[in-house]
Amino acid sequence: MDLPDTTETEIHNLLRQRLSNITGVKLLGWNPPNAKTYGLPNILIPKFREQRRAGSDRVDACMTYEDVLILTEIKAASSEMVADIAKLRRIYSYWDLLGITQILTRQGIRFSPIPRAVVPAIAFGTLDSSLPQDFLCWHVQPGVYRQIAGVQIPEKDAEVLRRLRAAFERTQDNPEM
Amino acid sequence: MGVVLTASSQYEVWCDKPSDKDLVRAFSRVSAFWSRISSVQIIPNMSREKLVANPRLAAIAPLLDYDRPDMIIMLGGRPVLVIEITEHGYTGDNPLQRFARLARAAEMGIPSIHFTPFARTRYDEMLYTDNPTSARKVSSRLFEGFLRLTRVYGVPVVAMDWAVSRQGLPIRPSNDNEIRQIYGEVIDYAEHLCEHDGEHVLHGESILNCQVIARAIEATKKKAAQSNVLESEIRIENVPYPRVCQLVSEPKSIVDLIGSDYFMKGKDHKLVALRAIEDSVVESVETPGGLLDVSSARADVGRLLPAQFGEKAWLVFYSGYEWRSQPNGGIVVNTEILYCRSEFGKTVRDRNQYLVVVWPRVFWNRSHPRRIALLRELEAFVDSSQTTRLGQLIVQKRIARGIPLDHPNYVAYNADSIGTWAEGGEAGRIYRNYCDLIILNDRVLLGNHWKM
Repeated sequence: MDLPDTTETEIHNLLRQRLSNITGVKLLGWNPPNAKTYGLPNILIPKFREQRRAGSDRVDACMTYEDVLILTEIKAASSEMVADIAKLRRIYSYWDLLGITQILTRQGIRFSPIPRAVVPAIAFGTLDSSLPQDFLCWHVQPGVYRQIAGVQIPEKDAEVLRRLRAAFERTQDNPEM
Repeated sequence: MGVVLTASSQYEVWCDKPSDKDLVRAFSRVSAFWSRISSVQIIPNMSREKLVANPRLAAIAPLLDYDRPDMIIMLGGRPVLVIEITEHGYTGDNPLQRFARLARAAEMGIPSIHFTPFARTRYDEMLYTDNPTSARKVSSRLFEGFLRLTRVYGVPVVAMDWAVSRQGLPIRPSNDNEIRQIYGEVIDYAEHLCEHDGEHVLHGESILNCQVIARAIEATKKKAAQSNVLESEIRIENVPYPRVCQLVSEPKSIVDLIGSDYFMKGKDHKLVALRAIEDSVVESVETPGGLLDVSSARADVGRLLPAQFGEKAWLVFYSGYEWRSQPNGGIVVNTEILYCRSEFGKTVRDRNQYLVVVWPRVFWNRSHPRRIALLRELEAFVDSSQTTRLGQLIVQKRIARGIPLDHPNYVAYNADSIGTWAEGGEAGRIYRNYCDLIILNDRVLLGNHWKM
């Protein structure tokens, strides 16, 4: 199916709107392309454990669904996401679930329930590359919402994400599915 | 007969970013005044010429001469209020980042609001600990600058506090009630100013005696009175003109003026600037009559420049920053208005002191061999800590200050680390407008007001 090009900003808006309407999703932070937001905070993750002033990574979207914490990067096309995937992997190489939840708590985020797992995610408008198998992937276009969970996501988390998929891909907005 | 403006349906708002537009929409959900605003649009990205040629945008074009304010409220097609909203507080130079755009509004006789946390925690501190980190207060120079703009131009430039959470972060709204709690002061002040004083603003009449406005100015005055900044080491006042001429012919002499100790403490990037100073040679000078090669006539530089330059003392401001628009632009405008401008001087020609900025990390000539060499040296140091002059300076500093030699340095490399002047860029436009002289690494530039 040929889909029109959708800009990164449009993907942000579509994804945010979609997720906002799903029961069980709690949006915690959002960093739009112009890096300016008055509602949800920008979420920062320090680059290294010890080295202050080494800088921080901004995560585009941060949310919980049930007891899974999802850190998401967003671009117009999946092929543009090499650096974003590397960034999320770098975050996971330095911080475990406890570390990430601590960092978010320090930024004023309150969890209920406390996340049991953290899953990296990417969202894009054009699917033009292979997808990472350890990531949750959202393919978003106007009127089209697909969720693809990588096979390397642990089964317990995948089970939760299957429930999210059902809500995410609601057929009334997704006639071609 | 004057313009009769009765209904707030004649209000419109121009915004910088989509998020600003969203915020205006949020204001409209909690305020009858804001809900009556007929149009909320994003300022298109276009050249000044195109803005001026567009009948709907011509009136805001001058407000965008330096950079773009977050919101411009228009009444009957003309601006009556500028609003700047930033969560980025912190002390030092950072809070001055938005100063230039508010100065521009004041120059045009347009009131403004600067909404920011007056004290907040730094992310790079609070992200690493569960212990409370101290809040950093916004530099009182910001508030002093607002008061000075108010006095000079006779329009209110006021600061309003963005409340912070227990962690010291600016509170963000999660529902409409919180929008009013957080932004209520801005929402109400804007309504009052537009509805009661908007027409006076349009007619160029003073609104400083209005009670609501006077209260906001008084609050800003109180913040300004709580001085929280040390005397700057890089702002040297009452410098005689011959000493400024020496800076042109011998740029390295800035180190004597500031004191070499300044470079040997604090951030390592000061030493990147010191490296640029060490190699700096001014080869050409802009004069009212045109560009002159001074590589063989440096001693006569004072005679090449306007004769008036010898009639007043100078303020020498040193910038060790890399090439970037902010906070450089805001700092220079704040410095000019606070320390150089005469009591009620409305233009940059009305000076008590002339202003020269020394900016050694910026070249006029992008391809200058000295720039390329400095960049290569910096890249080599950052990539592999190779033995370089910069590396030697950092070691020298470590030894002098008793810092372990393996202490991490925070020197970064990119093409702008040793940058090039961009005439049309934000910093270029601001510096040209506010400085009398700008001493780059390889060229001296003249302020716009001195060009023939």
